Amino acid sequence: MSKNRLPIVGAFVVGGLLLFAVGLFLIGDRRMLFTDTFELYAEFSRVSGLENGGKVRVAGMDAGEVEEIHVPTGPTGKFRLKLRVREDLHPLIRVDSVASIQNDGLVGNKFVQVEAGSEGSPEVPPKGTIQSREPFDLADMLNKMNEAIDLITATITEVKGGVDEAVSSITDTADGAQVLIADVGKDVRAITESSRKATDNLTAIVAGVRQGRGSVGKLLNDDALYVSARNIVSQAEKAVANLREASEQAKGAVADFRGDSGPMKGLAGNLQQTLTSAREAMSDLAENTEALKRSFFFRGFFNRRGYFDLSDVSVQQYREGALASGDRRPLRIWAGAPVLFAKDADGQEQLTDDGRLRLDAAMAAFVKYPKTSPFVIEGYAEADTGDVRFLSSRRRAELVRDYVVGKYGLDPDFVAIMSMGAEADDSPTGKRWDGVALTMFVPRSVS
Amino acid sequence: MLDRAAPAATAALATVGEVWLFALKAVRESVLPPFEFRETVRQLYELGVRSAPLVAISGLAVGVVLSMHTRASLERFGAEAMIPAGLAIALVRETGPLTAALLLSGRIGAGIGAELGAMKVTEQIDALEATAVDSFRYLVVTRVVACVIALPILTTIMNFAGMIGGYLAETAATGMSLSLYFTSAFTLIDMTDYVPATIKTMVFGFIIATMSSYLGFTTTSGTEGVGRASTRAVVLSSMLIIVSNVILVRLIFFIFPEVAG
Repeated sequence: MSKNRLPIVGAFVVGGLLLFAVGLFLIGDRRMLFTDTFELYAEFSRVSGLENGGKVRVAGMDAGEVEEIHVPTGPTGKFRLKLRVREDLHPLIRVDSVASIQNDGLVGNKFVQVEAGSEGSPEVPPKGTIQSREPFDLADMLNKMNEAIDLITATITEVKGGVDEAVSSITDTADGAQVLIADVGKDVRAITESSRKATDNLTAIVAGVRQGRGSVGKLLNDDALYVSARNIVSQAEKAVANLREASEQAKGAVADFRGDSGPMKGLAGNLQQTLTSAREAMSDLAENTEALKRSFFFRGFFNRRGYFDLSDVSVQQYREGALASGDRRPLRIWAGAPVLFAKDADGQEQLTDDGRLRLDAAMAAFVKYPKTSPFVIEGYAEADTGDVRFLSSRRRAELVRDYVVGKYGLDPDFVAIMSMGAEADDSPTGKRWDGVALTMFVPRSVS
Repeated sequence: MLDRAAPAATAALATVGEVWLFALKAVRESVLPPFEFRETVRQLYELGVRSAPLVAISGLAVGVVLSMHTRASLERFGAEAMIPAGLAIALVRETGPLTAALLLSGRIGAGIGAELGAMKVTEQIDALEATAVDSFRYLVVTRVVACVIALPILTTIMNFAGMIGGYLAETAATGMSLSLYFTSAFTLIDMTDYVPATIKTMVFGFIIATMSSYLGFTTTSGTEGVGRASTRAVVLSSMLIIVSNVILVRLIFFIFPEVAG
């Protein structure tokens, strides 16, 4: 043997062994024998043919294999799968990751798919157990399809039975209708025969009438009856004409009575003239009286007698006692706003039930005085600004006035309102008041 | 008829026993010194290295053909992606070892049978014995050891050549890259698929060398006997390889149950 064969044989052996080792390395690499891994567990009620060594994929990437399948101890237990997964994919697997057993294509092997978890969930610890979703089984689906097909077949059979029954009923109905038509035909023929006889009889009757036979025939054919009827109508026309003439004559007589030359015209004209004069005199008297009330010389008299116009009295004049002079004195009763008023949904103040009771009690003190005594409702309101005080106090006075006038039948001409603002010198609380004051200016002679 | 069958059966059983003893002697002699290292290397060169081209080219062709057949089958199921893995596992588990063994039984078995048969009929073996050379150790053990070493190596060459052939066919069909092909090819292969299937070819090598050597050593009837020994070496080696493969596969399944799936 030449010496150069030795290296060749050595290369052959070493090369062969290296090639074998390459095969081992490739297989080991696929089986992750040289990769860092960690253990993971998942539990399933059924494993659907998954075996030891089955692939594990994390988010679709080959990540390891099923290392062991622990069989449950009882029927209610679950298969516990021990998965070996690449360590570099550990960050993707969170505690909310879900494992499922899937099929690698139509004819492929079963593998375990682990979905990546959510960002907010912590990483699943080594040897941790993740959630699992039970595998979809083709056999289950086929069973359900079989059940569905059975149900459809049963339904079709049932519907077919119903249709047969309906067709049978329709046939029976058609047969019945045919029999009925056959039976009715005889009656219809009898009715037609009777109708024909009735028509013949009617024709004979009409012919008799035309010939003047019977009462109706005589009525239609005797001229004497016709002449008598015409005479009656003629006489009736004459009577109506006479009546119309009498009516025209009566109408003329009434016109003469009411005419310019008639007696009625003079009396009515005088009466109308008198009324017009009286109206003018009253108007002049009212104007004169108003003038006197405002006259410097007569104003005091009218005021003392109570003849004044409340609308012309200002708040200032009122405060100075414009209405309390002479033989009248003020009788004032105070009523507070918390009792009288409450705000409604719109924020507007309204009288409360307690407020009405309070006013009724106050009015009891006034009823003994004459209704012609001036009666003033003074409104008071606490507010930051003058305009609000004015509006609010007037609103309160109006509410009270409407109530007492309506309930006690007071004469509106003798009832007035005053928006007093907040100042009240002689109020129960001192210088200010929130509410109303009912003030009647009563004769001093009446205690 | 029974009178004629009985002596034939007896003779056949005697041959089996003789082959069995021949094989046991080869095993015993191969592990006991002195070792004919130089002759073993020479045989390794003749039987192994010179068989490598045959095995590589055959493997390439087998890979191409397997790929085409696998594609035709898996395409029906829409599972073309499984072609590399399917081809690789078929090659590694069975096709590679068996094809390599059968190829070598033809080349090596015929060579050993013819060479030793010629030496027998030309009394060269007797001459070796006359010069105090252990002809069995020198001629048989060296060939057996060379075959046992060469067969796994040649099977590995066969496997990789087959995968390369498969890759060539696949890339011609779909343009698949080499890295993706080999990544896919090894997805289904496990150690228990690869190692036992490769190791079992040592048994095939032993069968080829032992059977061929026995037939050469027992050659009679001149050159006609040499030709018959050569033919019978190929036939019997191939038959024994196929039969022993059944037993070996069963044995592998017994030792590595996961291989059986």
